[in-house]
This record gives sequence, C-alpha cells and structure tokens, in this order.
Amino acid sequence: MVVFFLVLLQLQLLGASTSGSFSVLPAEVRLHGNHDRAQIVVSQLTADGTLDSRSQDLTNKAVYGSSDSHVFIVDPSGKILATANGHATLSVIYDGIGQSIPVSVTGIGTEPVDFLKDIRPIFGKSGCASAACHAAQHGKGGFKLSVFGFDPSGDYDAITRASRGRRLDFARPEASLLLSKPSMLISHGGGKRIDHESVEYQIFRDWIAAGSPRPKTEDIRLSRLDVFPQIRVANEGMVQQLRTVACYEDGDQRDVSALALYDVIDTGVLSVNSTGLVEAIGKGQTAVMVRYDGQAAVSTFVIPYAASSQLAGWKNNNFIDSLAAAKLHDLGLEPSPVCDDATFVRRAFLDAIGTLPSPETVRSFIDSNESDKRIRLVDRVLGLTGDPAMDIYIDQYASYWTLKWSDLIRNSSKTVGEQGMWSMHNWIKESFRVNRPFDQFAYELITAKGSIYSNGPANFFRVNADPMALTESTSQLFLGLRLECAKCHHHPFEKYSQADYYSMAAFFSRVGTKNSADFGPFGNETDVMVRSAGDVSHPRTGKRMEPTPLGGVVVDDPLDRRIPLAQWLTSHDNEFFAKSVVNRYVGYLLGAGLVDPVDDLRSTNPPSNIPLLDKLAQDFIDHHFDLKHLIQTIMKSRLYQLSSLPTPENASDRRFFSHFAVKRLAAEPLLDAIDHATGVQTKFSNLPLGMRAIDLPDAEYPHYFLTTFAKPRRASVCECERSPDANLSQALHTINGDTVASKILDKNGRISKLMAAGLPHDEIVTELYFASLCRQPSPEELEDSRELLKESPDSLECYQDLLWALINSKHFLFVR
Amino acid sequence: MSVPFCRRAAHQQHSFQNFYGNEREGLTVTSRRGMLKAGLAGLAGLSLPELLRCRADAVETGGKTAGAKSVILFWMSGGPSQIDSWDVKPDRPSVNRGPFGAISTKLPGVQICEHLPKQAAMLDKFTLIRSVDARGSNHNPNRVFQTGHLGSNTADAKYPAIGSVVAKMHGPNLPSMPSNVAAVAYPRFHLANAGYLGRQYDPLIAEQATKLPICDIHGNDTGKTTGANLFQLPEGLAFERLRERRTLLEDLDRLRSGIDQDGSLAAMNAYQSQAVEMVLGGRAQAAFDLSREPAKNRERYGQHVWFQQALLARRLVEAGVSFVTIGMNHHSGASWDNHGGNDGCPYGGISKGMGKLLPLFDHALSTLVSDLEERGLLDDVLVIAMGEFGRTPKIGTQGSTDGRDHWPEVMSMALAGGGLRHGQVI
Repeated sequence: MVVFFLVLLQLQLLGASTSGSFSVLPAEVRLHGNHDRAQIVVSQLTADGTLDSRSQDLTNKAVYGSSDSHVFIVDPSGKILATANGHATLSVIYDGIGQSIPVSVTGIGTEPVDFLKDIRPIFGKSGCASAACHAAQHGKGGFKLSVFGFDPSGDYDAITRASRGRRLDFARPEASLLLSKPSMLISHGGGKRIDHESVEYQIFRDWIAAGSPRPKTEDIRLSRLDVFPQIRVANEGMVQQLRTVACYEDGDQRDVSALALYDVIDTGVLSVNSTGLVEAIGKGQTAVMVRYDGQAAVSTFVIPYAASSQLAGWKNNNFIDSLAAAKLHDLGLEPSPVCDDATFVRRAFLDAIGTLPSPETVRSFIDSNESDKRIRLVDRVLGLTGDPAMDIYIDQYASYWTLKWSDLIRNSSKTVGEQGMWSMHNWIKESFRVNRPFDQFAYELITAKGSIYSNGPANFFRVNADPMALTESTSQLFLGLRLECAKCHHHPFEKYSQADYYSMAAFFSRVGTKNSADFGPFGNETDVMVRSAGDVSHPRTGKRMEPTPLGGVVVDDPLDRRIPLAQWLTSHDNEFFAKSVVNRYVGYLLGAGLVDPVDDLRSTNPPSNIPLLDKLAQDFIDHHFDLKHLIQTIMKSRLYQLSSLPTPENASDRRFFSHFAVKRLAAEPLLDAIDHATGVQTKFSNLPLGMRAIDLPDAEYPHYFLTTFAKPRRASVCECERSPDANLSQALHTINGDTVASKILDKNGRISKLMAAGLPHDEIVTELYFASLCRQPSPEELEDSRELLKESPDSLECYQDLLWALINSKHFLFVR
Repeated sequence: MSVPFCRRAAHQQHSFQNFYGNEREGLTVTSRRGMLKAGLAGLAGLSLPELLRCRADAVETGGKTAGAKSVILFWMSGGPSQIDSWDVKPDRPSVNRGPFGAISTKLPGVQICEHLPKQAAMLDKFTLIRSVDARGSNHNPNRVFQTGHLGSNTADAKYPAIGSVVAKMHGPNLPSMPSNVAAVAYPRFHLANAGYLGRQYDPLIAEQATKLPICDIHGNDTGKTTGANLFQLPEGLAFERLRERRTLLEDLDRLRSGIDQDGSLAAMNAYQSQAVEMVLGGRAQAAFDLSREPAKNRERYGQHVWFQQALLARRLVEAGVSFVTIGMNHHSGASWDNHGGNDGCPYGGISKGMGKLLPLFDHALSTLVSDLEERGLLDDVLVIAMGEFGRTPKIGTQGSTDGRDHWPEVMSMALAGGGLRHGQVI
C-alpha cells in the first residue's frame, strides 16, 4: 500500500499522462537550453487504470514521433533532444493506441553553456573525474581533475589554464585536446570516452566556442534526486527504463537521466547500462544507485523467487515475524521449518553469551515439556527471569558483549596503555553487566573527560586522537555511516560533502589531552579535557566550520560542544542511531544485517526489509534503548528459530532469513568451546587461570590460536576487521595444532575423567556428544562408535579420535 | 614537464617497460598504487576467472600454474647505503665516496660496489632504480616500503603489507599452499603484517615450519636451528592415525550433511582437506623441507641463514606461494642501519658493518636469480631487494668514523625477473 501511495504521489508530483491503457511520464516536456534532453518512460496500466509497482515498462516497445523535428528529435528508446526553440508534440503509440505529449523548447541560443550544470556532469559520467583516471592523486598524462568534480574552480583551471592552456583551441574548438583526446581522434590513454557525434561532444564544443566561461560563483544547490520508478516488482528478464530528475533548491527541475550515473548494488540480481536501462538477471531484491552532482538516490527492484509462497504453518511470535513473513511472501520464499531443541539451545547460548551450555542444561532443556520453554531459555540466558538462582549467565553475557564492543571501540593497551585499557574495559563490562541503556552508553563515551586511568570512557579520546578520527569513529559506531570518504572529497555514494564532515569534526575541535608526570594516583597520567577555544577549518576553502550534526542545524555549547552532539546523537528523532544498533544486532544474531554490511547505513544501501528495520528501531527507542530487550525480541521470534537446513527453493537466499544463516564460531568463543569440550581450560599468560578467552580485555595477547582465528588487532572500527572467512592455517590449527591435540591428550581432561568414572562406552560417547555438539548421538552414530572401539588398539585412543573428529566437525565449528 | 614523443605508444605497452623520471606513472613507489603495481606487476594481467581456471588446470596436471606470478622480497632492514651498493660515486671526494671501490658490470658504463661482484657479472638480469623517493619512510616496516602507504601510520598495526594484500586478494598460486610466507629472523620487528585486513593474512612465519640456521647478531652461525613443528604431527600421533581420524570426521559430517549447502561450510571442508594434505606429506611440507633439495644445489646456495632463506624462497614460489619475504637481518635491530657503531650498537659503520653484509647479500641474491632463471621461473617471479630508505651522501655523520645517517630523499633498489625488461638503470 505504501508503495502504491508513493507512486501515486510521484505521479502527481511529476504529472504523468495516464489516458488509455498506458501512461507516459512526464505528461509535458519542457526543455531549456542547447542540447537539453529528456527521457520518456511509458508504463502499462493495470486493469483498473492505475500505475503500481508491478506495471510493465513499455518504453522500448512504444513508437515515438516528433511533430516538428526542428524543435526536437526523439529516438526509439524515448530520449528527446531539443534542437530549436518552439512548441511541438510528441506522439507515443503502443498497441494501436496513441497519446500526445506537448513539448516546449526555450533558451536555445540564449542560455549559455554552464560549467557546473553542463560540463562537470560529463566528466563524471564519462569516468574522466574518477580516481582511476584524471582524478588520480597525480592525475593522468599531466591532466588532473578533482574527484567527482568537487573542486570546480581547480578543475576549470586545469582545463583552461594548466599546461600553458594547450587543452583548448578557441579558434578551432574541434582541434582542442579536450575534444580530440576523449573522442580518440588522437591517441588517448583512457580510450574513447566521448563519441565525436554525441551530444556531449557538442556541449564541450559549444562551451569552448563560447570562450569557456568560468563556473558561476554561486553554486546551484541540488536538493534531491527523484528517480522513477522508486520500486518495481517484476520477474527475471524484466527491463525497466529509469528516469532521473534533479530538483534544485530554487524549485527548478531538470531531467538528468542522460547525465546521471547508474550502479547496481547486487549485480547478481540486476544489470544496468549507462543510460539507465535496467534488466533483471537473477532473483532477489536490490537497488540501482543513481548519482548526479553530489546527490544520490535509489530505485528498488524486487524479483520474486517464486510467484507466491504459502508460508504453511507459519505462526508469528512477535512483530518481527509478521514483517519478515510479509517480505518472504512478496519474494515468493518458503521459509524452512523451525529447528529442533538441541540446535536451538546451542545456538541461543553461543549467540547470546558466546558460551556452550553444560550437558545438564542441554538435557533438561530437551527433556522439558513446557510449551514456552524456548522463551524461558532466552530469558535465562539473558538474565531476564528476575530470579537470581536462574540468572546465572550475566557474567558471560557481559564478557561476550564487552568483547564485541571493545573490538569496535578499539580498546587496546597499545594505544591507551595497560591502565587505560583496564579502565576502559571495566567501564564497558560494567555497562553490559547492568544492561546500561545504549543511549546512555554512547552519551557517556562521547562526552567523557578526566583521567584515562580512572574514567574508562575517556580513553575513547586517546584511541581516537584528533577531531577527524573522532568524527569517523563516532559516525561509524553509532550512526553506521562511513564518513571517511568525505574527508578528502564529496562522499561518492552519499549526499555528504567535505563541509558536512568538517562540521561534524568541529564538535571535537575543543577536546584535548594533557599529560602530567605528577597527576593522578598512578602518576604519568593523561587527562582528557575541554578547552574554551579551538576550531577546525575546511581544508579547501579554509573556512572555519560551525559544529553541525549531519543533516542538522548548527548547535553549540559554551561549556562543551560534545554535549549537543551527544544529545543529537541519542535523541529519539535521530533515526540513524537506533537503526544502526538494531541492524548490528540483527546481523550478529541472524547472520546478516537488514542493511549489509551492518555498519554501512548509507542512503544508497537500502535495507532488505524497510518496515522491519523501522519497527525494530522504534521498538528499541520505545524500550529506552534496552539492548537485552532488543536481543530477546529477536531471539524469541520464529525467524531466529528457523532451521539452518535450506529447502531447494530457498537455498539461494542469503538476505531474507528464509533459513537460519550458519555462522562460524569466532576465535574466542571457539577456544572456549574447545576448552569446554575437552575439559581443559586454557591459561593465558599474565592472567589467572579461569579467565576465559571471551574475558580477555586487551587486543594484545600473543596467543597463536586466537591470532590464527582472526582475533582483531582493534586497528579499525569496521566490523570487517574480524573476518568471518575461514582459511587454511585455521584448519591446519584445529586438525594438527598443538592447542587441540594437547587438550585432547590431557590427563585431567574430560576423556580421562569419564574413563576414570568407569562409565560404559555408550555413556562416554553420549557425554562427548553433549559436551561438544550439545545433542544426543543418533543410533547410527552410537553404532559407528562401537565399531570404532572394536577397531581401535585401546579405548583411550578411540575416545581421543572421536573427540578430535567431533571438534573438527562442522557442527562444532559453526553455529547452526 | 618534458614528455618524450614515444609516450603515447607506451600506453598500449606493458606498464613497466618505460620509466619516466619526472612522470608519476608506472613505478612510483611514493604512492601506494605505484607500489602495488610494482609488487603485483604481472598478477593484474589475469582476470579472476582466468586465474581460477588456470589454478584448477594446474591442479589437474600437478604442475605450476602457467603465468602465475609471485614475488620474493629481500627486505634489507635498516636502509642500505645506496652509495656503498648500487649507486656508487667513484669520482666524488672520499667523504662522499666512502671506503669501497667501484667495479664495472655487465652493463657498459654502469658501475656498482666492489663487494657485489656476482651481481655485477649479471647486471643485465637486473634493473637498478637509483631514483626512488623514500621521503616519509622510517624504520617502522608499516611505513611506506612494505605497505606502499605514504606518510604516518601512528596506530602502527594499521596498513597491510603488500604480501598480505596479495594473500587476501589473490591467494596462493596453488591450493593447499599458504599465500604469504616470511622467512625473517625476529619477524616481530621487521615485518609489516596484515593491519586492517585481519591477522589471518599475516605471513606464515617460515621459522615455525622448517629448520633454518640461527645466527648471532653479527651473522655468525650458532649451529642451532629453528624449530619446525607446524606440519609435524603432535607427539604420539602417527600418520596412519591422522588418516583414520580424517575418515572418521568425514563420516561424522556426512551423517548430517544437510547443512553442507552453505558456502562457508564447503570452504571449511576444502581447507580441512588441504590441511590434512599439508600434514600428510603434501606439497607444503615438501616445499618447506630444505633437506629435500639435492645436495649439490644446497651447496651452491651455502649454509648461511640468508642463503638458506633464499633457497627456501625459491622452493616456496615453485610450490605455489605467491609472496615470500626474506629478511636480510641478524637481530631485532636493523643490520643495514649502519650509523657507525660509536654508541656500541652492533650495526657498525660502512666498512665494518655493511662490508660484512654485502658479500653475503650478493651471493644470496645472485644465486637465487640464477637458479630461478635456470629453472625457467624467472619471468614469473619478481625479485625485489630494498630497504626503508637511503643513507646520507656524507660519511661520518653523528660523530661516527664511517657511519651514514638516514637519507630518505633518495634510495636505490634492485629488481630482477617478473617478466620485466631488465638491464636498465633508472
């Protein structure tokens, strides 16, 4: 329904002609200036005469005619080019029915060629101003442009003045290098970029012939891009012509379909060419990213896996399920059934607290007959029962999520010293132990000051030592925005400019550190403090930047600029804050974010399920940013409890949660799980025995196992630092490494204890299965183990081999 | 900027057949891209699908991948003096010239240091770059020359080494081999690791996988060797038992193979098979085992740790490793950091410090290049020898008798192989 209204709204805005069985967009074409162009989009109407997201595109099937080819010409793909001032009519004929669209052309011969409006977009569209070409660090072939044309006056000088002005020839514009190079009339390293019969060529020539006028000093500000269609549901093989309209702040609109850049986010689903013609080549949902002049927009495409899905036996546990089911239904995806109890208990423990459940816990859970036992289990794991005797996992919960956030915040003794690292660690762990509301967590971190040894969050300002680093970390951590591109040039996939970046950085311009040999209880301390002055300036214009949150208005505070930033960040109106957090947790628990990668919430990377992300974020806000509430909401959903066994129909789905996504155990939980299965605890150097891998506070542990399994160095705020991919040395390590081998052989380990207790074979095997895979061995597996016992020289070797195989099995190494 | 006329044709040719001193194109090691281009020279020539197909074919035939490129980096930790190696100044006063003489080389008109006679005799196989701009570089290996990243790198684990980029983006040339290996004494001090790419792309430290001689800080053999345990079975475990365990594991996974439709599980299966293969006398174990090299060839290389490292590097690239770093150093400090030794440090000055290293280095590098060439591998293996920066034109800096201080303004490096046109001095 929402989609339908959007389309209607757009039709009203853009004014489509809808008489007959098809609609033509726009209903009236107004062209202004030399070589102005427009894209016509023809769509099939539904039986009741409306246009919706399933309307077929007829643009390339209709037949076009111009009533006066002196005024405009039109090509078979519905592209109109202005040729002379005047009025004429475009005829569109499809299936024997015709429609007339008035076309008016003005400004030819009078409207000058504009550098910003006409010339710069061509450099962008033709790829000249890309980092691989003339926008490289030192340009190419002595000709250097700014990336995406963010520095028009510099580019203007490079074109017209640099190299003694050799690029332009005013007497004979065609002889200019600016034309002869990209059209390959003379050799060009970048190959042919512009055809010498193309409109672009004409525009360049006209601009040179007019004496290459400078860019106007006042930039025409683009307010947004409108792309038609905003959403399209169709089958594989569908083609759709996009139409892109630039809307300026002064209310002016211009069809920039020919000038915009088009890219597909998931190239397995769609392909798009440079004119904005989209083709569906696979199944799923993705978007086409449309960029023009610093603005970006998306057009979403849904290509269902099947015509419909029955969702047989589906029951909604909570709102997640109803919203997810709607998406599965749209996509024709049939979800897998719910997983069995043994799988669920292992999954829930590893996902929520990074720890394997004890064999007794598994047994009692599987044997329980309570109808709501999974809900009770989630409450117990998260410590939400309110009964101290039941809430026994709070410490593991705190350790596990402290590990996660310490990686992201990059707590490391290498940057903040031993004392600072411990103080930061203790603060983070305390936050998770008491389940501190996440807005408060962020607020305290961003506004922290004082001694880095006694005030944990203050270390954030040592980890990120300058306003730029603080801006980037804060944006990525709490807004899910990767701003670093905008440090040096306009963000390529976002609306954010350098000015936006440095206005954010201005919030951190007055925070500094003071070192003192005498200060603090431990001496040699660093104090994070706020100064009364200090600014950042725009690197190109040199202008002093006012502290402005992204997309907000200037806010300042005489005492501490970080306060208004933290208030803005954690306010209920800041959609990015809640969304970035819930999206991260969806990613952690369900294996893929609604926006993926989970920390890249740019507008051109739309979520796979918009209503679900919105509702999760709203629910998180409504529950005062309570992380445990968020986790339990996700874990109690049916979606989280689906089997990881895909059906043949949903096997190719990776983004819509039709089956549970298996995850590899990360380094620390894996080592703890091996300890648990073998019954031999790892001793970490300089730390007391009993400290588990998920308890480690620091990134700096010279532990070969953890290193091999990609424990991050905490060098980057990116989630990608902890690679989910397995590699050869990891396999080598569990197959042949000392860590696993010595634990299996250990004389005080699980095997020795079980054998010393004199248990019969079947019971020992069952115990090993429970300790590693959290399940009962199947009758065949038990039979096989008896077979193994017969073949083994002695029973000890049999159990060692069995435990080795269990630890190396995929069921152990993965959460499934 | 003067641009020679043939400039245009250059665009269509191999990017490394032309070097223009003033043009920041081609091999510009001040920029990360230039460095990557240099390091990966031929790797970029193949598209990924092609590469994968090549590798799959090679596995079937059991041979080395046709066209699979690799790199061997001689890391001359400390920054060797260019004047006392590849950029001699025989006509300058002794305060610049230094203690060593110059000798003629196979290239007419090109002279290099008298302590590099073996290279001199085959300099047509090398390209010397005497014009490398090393500004911004310092001892920290995470700066500039191992990472190609110009400028400060304060959180010094940040930028990945080129070998790690290769490990991530390219992988090994043959499956069941590591992609990035370093044979370096005191690796902690001399290697830029994988930085933000993640530790799994750190180089595999060869000292953990094979027996290499251990030298004292002056480069004299101590008679000890490094431990070699990575491919060795844990005590009390026979090959046969690992084989049986493997079967057991396969049975266990097969019983519930339903989940195996996911790619990550398939990958894990592949890695596990490779790991078992590596341990059970597969390609990797053989490649790391220097004792399998014919005695004659071992003698040709010699016993010194650098020679053994060079031999190991050849064995590894032959077996499918894509990037090998070998450390031309003897201690946790930098052996080529020849400040002069007045402060009692073991670096020594030019004559005593560097003078001892040059013949060893000369033999290691020239033997490796000749060996590669004889085996027909030279065009597929780019050999790079370089340090962090050059050293001052004036000798006797910092109150030393014959030391030279850092001089990042210029340094020299040598390249061989990799399918480049050699015999150039740039």
